[in-house]
Amino acid sequence: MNKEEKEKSMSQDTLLESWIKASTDFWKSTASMWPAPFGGISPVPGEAGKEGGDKSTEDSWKIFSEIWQALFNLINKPVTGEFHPESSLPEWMLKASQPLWSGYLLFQKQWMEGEEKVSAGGLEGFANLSQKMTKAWLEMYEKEFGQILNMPQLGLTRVYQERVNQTIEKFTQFQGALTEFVQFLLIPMEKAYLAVQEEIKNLEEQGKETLKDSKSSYQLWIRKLEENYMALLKSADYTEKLGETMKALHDYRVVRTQFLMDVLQDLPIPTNKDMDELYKDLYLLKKRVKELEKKVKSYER
Amino acid sequence: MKDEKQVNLSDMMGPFKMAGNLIFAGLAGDTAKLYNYLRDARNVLLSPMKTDIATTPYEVVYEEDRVKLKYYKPDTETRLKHPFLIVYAQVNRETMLDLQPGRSVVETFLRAGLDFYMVDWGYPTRKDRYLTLDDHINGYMDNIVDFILEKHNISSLHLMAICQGGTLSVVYTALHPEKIKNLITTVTPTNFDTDASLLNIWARSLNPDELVETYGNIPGDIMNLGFLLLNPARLMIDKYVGFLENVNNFDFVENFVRMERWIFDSPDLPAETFREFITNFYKKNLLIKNELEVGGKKVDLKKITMPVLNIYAKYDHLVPPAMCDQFIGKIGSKDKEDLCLDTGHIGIYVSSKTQKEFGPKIIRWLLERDGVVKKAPQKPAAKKPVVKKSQAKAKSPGK
Repeated sequence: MNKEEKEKSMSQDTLLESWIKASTDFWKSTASMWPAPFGGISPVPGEAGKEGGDKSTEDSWKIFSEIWQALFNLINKPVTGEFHPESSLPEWMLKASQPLWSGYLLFQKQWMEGEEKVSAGGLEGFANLSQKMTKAWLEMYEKEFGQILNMPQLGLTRVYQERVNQTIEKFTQFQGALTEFVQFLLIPMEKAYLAVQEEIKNLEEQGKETLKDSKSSYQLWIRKLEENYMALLKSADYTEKLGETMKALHDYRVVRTQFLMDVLQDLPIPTNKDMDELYKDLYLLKKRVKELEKKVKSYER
Repeated sequence: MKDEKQVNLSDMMGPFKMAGNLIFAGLAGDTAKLYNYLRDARNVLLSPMKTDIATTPYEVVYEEDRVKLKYYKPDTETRLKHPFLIVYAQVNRETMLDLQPGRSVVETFLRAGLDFYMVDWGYPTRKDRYLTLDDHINGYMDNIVDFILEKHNISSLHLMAICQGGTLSVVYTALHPEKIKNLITTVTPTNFDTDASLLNIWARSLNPDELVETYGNIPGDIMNLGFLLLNPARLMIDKYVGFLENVNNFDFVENFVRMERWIFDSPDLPAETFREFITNFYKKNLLIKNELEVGGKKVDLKKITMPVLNIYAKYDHLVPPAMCDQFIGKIGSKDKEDLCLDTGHIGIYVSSKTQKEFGPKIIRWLLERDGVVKKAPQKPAAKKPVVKKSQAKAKSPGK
């Protein structure tokens, strides 16, 4: 590259840098004017909440800003000369995914702490740890990925993009609720096993004959399991968890249907909405015909 | 020694090991025994089985949309003077009444010389989602009753109903009492304000509007999952452990497969019907309070004045006695009877023990009130398996 080319390239870089900075400032100031939940952040860091913004939206902006800066750094690198994907791409990826990694590392840290406690015999059990980790994961999702999916979409395809994002979000939320529900159903398994251990220990302590064979062990376990399931299934906690899971399923199916209908619009296939409208007409028509038939019959009599 | 409160991943496998041990541990010590067990199991599973259900011949005499009316006729001369109609629930299939030879209510009735009609609700599809309770009760049911009455040139018929089909039939009878000569309700829920069944607790917390929006018609599989969750330990584990224990027994496997075929053959429930049923029955309990309206007409249980036999099961976990035993006290009939059998929801129709009580009791009760045989004098005290029996004094109005 000669001197003239270098100067030209530098002036292009400066121009790009200025554009990136201007656009960042623009979006930052625009975001400050958006109402919650998408914005309302203070343009000055640390003043979040003064104008209706909050810490979480400020964090979201920070994440977005960091990703944007990481992208910019990649774009801003001289592309002339040899391209070194092995050095430039990992650096970009590292920077861009740093916010995501920090969330993941936090999650992993909690998992390790939980495992450590279980190994030391200090925690209630595996089901409990599993529940806590699912909760931690869902919280991390809400704080990090979830907010990205809820960022406002723009332009001609805004509606469609929002539906895709909503489908992803609601699917994740449903999976989370379902995981929690299944974990809830596993609690009696663990409790029944502990109860069997307890019973065997008691028998040993009393000097009585312990369970003779597999059949009696199994019978004891299934009885304990049934008891624990009955206690769980009658509890208000279970009913609440069931309700939450059904709600999450409903929310997911609604947005998924909308998303699929968008896709089907371009195909020669009627959507459920089309068919339901038709079915309703058919239902009303048949009802009317049957009523008229009955009237005619009664006149004939 | 390890703390008994401490559980790790390998401990979590304990229950599964326990179930596995039950089946194989006893056999493992004896190689020859294990070999025989596996060989027999293989032979049983690979041999042809007769697992068809509802094999008794019938004729379809009426069809409307997806709904069919089956007519069963005995080889012998028919004994009833009035036609006899059986209405099954919309959940699961009426094939349960004819599960297998020797355990078939259909067979019992035919052997006694009873001819009868049975409603087959069919499999609702998406186009049926707008059908309401009114459409089923004052539409399909009333059309079927009119068809039968016209065919026999008679003014009333005997109605026997099962489970949720019983609830529909009670509503129908209250709205059209002149068309029903005698009513038999079996495991029929009429009072929903009880926590005796988990279904009631869950149904009250359900949002039927959301479910209908989610699914349209409520899938049979979802309802079956709900039924399994009523007792996961027994219905999802113990039952199949029992199957594996007896997998080398041909008759056991054949019967087991037949029952599985019936249990998981569950039609979807039309969306609007489901919405109304959950709201008006499970949530508001309107029927027993005489506050229900169907098709713009009030359902007054006092209008049920014909003889009524109300049979339910002591160990029913789906429709416990608390859901059935208030009905008799709310109706206007004088000839009425509660009969609580020592069995469960399905056992009432299929257990070999109940076959000797359930079917014969209905046949005798019907023949007496149809004027075919002389009515036996009322016994002063209830004896087993009758747990509770109301005072039954007067003859039916039509007699």
